[in-house]
Parts: sequence; C-alpha cells; structure tokens
Amino acid sequence: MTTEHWRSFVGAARYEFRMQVRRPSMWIVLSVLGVLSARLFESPWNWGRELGPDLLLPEWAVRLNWFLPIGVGVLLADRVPRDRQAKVDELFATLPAAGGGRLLGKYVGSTLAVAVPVFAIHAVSMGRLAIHEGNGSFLPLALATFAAINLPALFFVGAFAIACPAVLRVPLFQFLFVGYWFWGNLLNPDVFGIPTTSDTLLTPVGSYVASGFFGQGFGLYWASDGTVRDAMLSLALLTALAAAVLVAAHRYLVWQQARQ
Amino acid sequence: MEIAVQGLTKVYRGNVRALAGIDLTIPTGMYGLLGPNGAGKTTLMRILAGVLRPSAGTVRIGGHDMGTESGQRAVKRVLGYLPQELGLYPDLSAREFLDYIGILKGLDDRAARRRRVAELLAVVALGETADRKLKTFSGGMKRRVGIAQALLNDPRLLIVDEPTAGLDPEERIRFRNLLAELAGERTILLSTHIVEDVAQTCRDLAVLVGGEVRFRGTTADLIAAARGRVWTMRSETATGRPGDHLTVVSTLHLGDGVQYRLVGARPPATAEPAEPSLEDGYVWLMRGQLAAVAA
Repeated sequence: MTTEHWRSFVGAARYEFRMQVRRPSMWIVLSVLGVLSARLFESPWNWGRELGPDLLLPEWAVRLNWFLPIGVGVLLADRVPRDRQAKVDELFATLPAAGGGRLLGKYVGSTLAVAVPVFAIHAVSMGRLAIHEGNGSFLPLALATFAAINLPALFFVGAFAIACPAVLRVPLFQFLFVGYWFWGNLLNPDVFGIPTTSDTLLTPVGSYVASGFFGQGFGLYWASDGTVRDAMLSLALLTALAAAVLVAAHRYLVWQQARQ
Repeated sequence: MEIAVQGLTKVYRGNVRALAGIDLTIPTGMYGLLGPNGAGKTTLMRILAGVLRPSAGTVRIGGHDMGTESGQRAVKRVLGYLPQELGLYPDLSAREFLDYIGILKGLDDRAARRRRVAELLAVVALGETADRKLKTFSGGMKRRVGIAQALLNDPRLLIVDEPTAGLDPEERIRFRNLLAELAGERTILLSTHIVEDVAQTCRDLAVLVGGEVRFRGTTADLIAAARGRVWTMRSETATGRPGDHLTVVSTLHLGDGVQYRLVGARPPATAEPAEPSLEDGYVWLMRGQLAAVAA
C-alpha cells in the first residue's frame, strides 16, 4: 500500500464512519430488526438455563445474523452512488489520494459504523443474559462469538453493498440483495428442494464458524457437524469473495472515470 | 507553473464537440477565462484538473504531461480546484469536511492540518459556523467552504470555476482580493461569467466561444478593441430604445428619462462616446462573433 493509498484509506475510513454512525435511519432500522430477532426467536435468557452460555452464545450470534445483515446491506447500498449524487466525486478526482484506498476506507469505515448498533444489540442481550444468569463470566465468550460470527457477516455483506451499486441502481441492488439473503442463507434446501448456498461454506450467517469454533449448536439451520477446518475455510471463502467484489468495483470505477 | 495546451479537443458521447482543437499558453499569475454558456470553459477546466480526458491534443502543466498517470499525479499534488458545482457531505461540519479533504491532500500532520483548516475558515469568514453541519449552510457559505478546500494545500496551481457565483458583493470583493494576493508565483485560472471579476484581478485572459479560443491577450487589449464603439445615449422614455444594430450594455433609469450604454459600430445621432470597460470589450467581441455566425 503506497502512502497515498494509506492516506486516502485513513481519511475515508474516519469520515465514512462518522457520517454513517450519525444516520438516524441506521439506528432505527437495525433496532427494529434486533427487536424482531428477539421476538421471533425468543431471547436467549428464555431458552433454558440448562443449555449454558457455551451453546447459547454462538446460537444467539447466528440468529442475529439472520436478519440484521439485511438492514446492513440495504443501508450501505447508497455509499458509493451518494458521492456521485452529492457531486463530491468531481472534487475527489482532482485529489492526489488514490481511489482504491478511498473505496477501501469507505468500506471499512461505513461497515464498522453499522457494526456499532449490531454490537449494541448483542451487548444489551448479553447484559440481560448476565442479569438472568446471575454472573457475567461468559462475556469474553460473547465478545468472541461477536467477532467470529457477526463481524465477518457484516463485512461480507458490506463489501457487496459498497461494490455492487457502483454498477447497479441502488433500489435494484437492495431488491436483489434481500432476495439473495432469503434464498442463499435462510432457505432450507431439504424443505424447499431448490439449489441454494444456504447451509454451505458460502453462507455468511456463520453456522460453520459457530459449530467449527464454538461446538455443536441446537438450532434449525445449523451445520452442526462443522469442523475448525470448515470454519476457517468458510471465513477464507467469504473474505476472498468480499475482496474480489471490491477489486472488481474499484476497476470498474477507474474504467468509468477514464471514459469521461 | 505554465500551462501549455495544444490542439485540445473534447467530443462527448452523442458527438457533442465541447472543445475544437484549442491552443493556449497560460503563464504564471492570474489568468481569466471568459465565454458564454456552452463555450467549453468548464470542459477545459475539468481537463486541466484531471477530471476529464481529452479526445485529442496535449496538456502540459509545469512540464508534466497530463496524458500520463505520473504527470497527473504530480500536478494533483500542487493543485487546488473549485468545481462549478461543488458537492459537500451534508452530515459533516465545515471543519470536518475540510479536515477530510486535508487528509486526502496529504496534510499528514494532524496539528498542522487543524491549524490550516482553522486559518482558512477564518479567511472565508466561516470561523463561527465551522462546527455546524453543511446541510444548514446557505449557497454562499457552501461556496466559501469550496474556496477554503481549494486553498488547503497552498496550491501552486489554482483552478476556480465560477468561484464567486452565489457570493454577496462583499464576499465577492474579499475573494477577488484573496485571489489577487495569492497570485504571484502561482498560476490561477479563473473561469467566470462575471466580467468584472476578471477585470479586477487578471492581466491576461482568453475568451472561448463554441469550443474555440476567439480572443487571447491582455485585458487592456480587449478594452482597446472596443474603443470608439461605446456610447451613452439619453432618451425621454424607455420606448426610445436604440436599434438592433447596437447592444445595450446597461439601462439606467434617471428621474427625467433613461440613459443607455451602447456598444456597436454605428451610433445613434444623439449618442456620446464613452470610455470602454472590459465588459464593453467582451460585448464587442461577442457581437463580432454573433455577426460572423449570422453571416
């Protein structure tokens, strides 16, 4: 990474984070989805004391990943087109800072910003669970499940939400993304009998990571036989896909600029 | 830092020709660019700033070839650019926006960057509103933020497109004075519709019409071109307008009639000669162009 890439990465990450974290719509949408998740699956403190935090925490992290990333994908979709609409892209084109670093900074900054309310939802749940359990000794494990299960999902979704609207119109991307999310992550192939990436290593909801790193779960769509190797492979595949789509978006934007 | 443009052509999709092979040399100092809407001024500015690529021709700035990546990078390090339509992030404050642009312009030392931002906010008279979100700013205030961001890196080359649009008269004068102070070792290219801005700040200028350079020289040359073609004429009523062979530059309603300032080759019998201004020179030039097109 050159100095100019690093500079544009740092600047974009810092200010994209600030702009995204100040959006009231982000807090509203993710709070609604968090409450929906808690109502739909019941809260972990209602799942039964006998299960214990070792089972509860990865399961809860996976369940949060069912709906919260939908909000994340929808909310981040306007980040690249917004520069064009706000007409700041012309100014950026005249700056020495590199476009690739700026795109990466935009991705990291805005994805970290949406991770804040997701973490807040997770933290509130864990706080409630700690009160219910009467101790908070599981909190380090809760942090680990957030880092290993929730964050990769957000960064995977964030990469597509930043990259794809460089090519697609935002509402079209949002429509396709929501469709993909249900088809590719929540649809049980055994029940519906159609091909899907659900329950494969390519699903970002984190079932393989959960079972591979944290042991067997007890939920519905779990890859309950996932190994540590599966978990590593799943994370590597998701990271590679996210990187590939960002590189493709960067090349497209450079090509588009050159055509002007 | 001299700008040398040769055979510069820009054809947009749909075969719209914005620049038709222009040659221009812009020396160090203030340089004005005038022309009617659609003359190609903004296209020229955007090519010089590295936003657009030309369809043909070459641009060298300070010896750097803008047709190469390395040349563009070298120029962008010393460039300050104010686009005609400057976009801002509405949810950032003026201070934050300038800090962001400062980082991207390579002002790496945080303390120095903050000092520079504060200094420029004071220069554009936004010190007291620096922490308000940009979405609450008026058009003129946004324009001043744009001026401040263009100056952040103390640029050796400053390209400003309609910089005073939306500014009130006091701000306009302050900005013109600022530009005049900045000139010297810098190259400042000022594109505007407001002839007065060029008259007050530039010694040299070019006039673009239909993608071609129709005049290049000093402001004195353009003023001299209108000498003997400018008149004032008084009329009892506004219905006593002079004929179409003259351009009315201004109409002043007096208590007992109307005074016209006219530019044209043949004056009415009652007209008196007047000392030409740059605006008169520009109007005379444009009249010549329009006549040529009509012929």
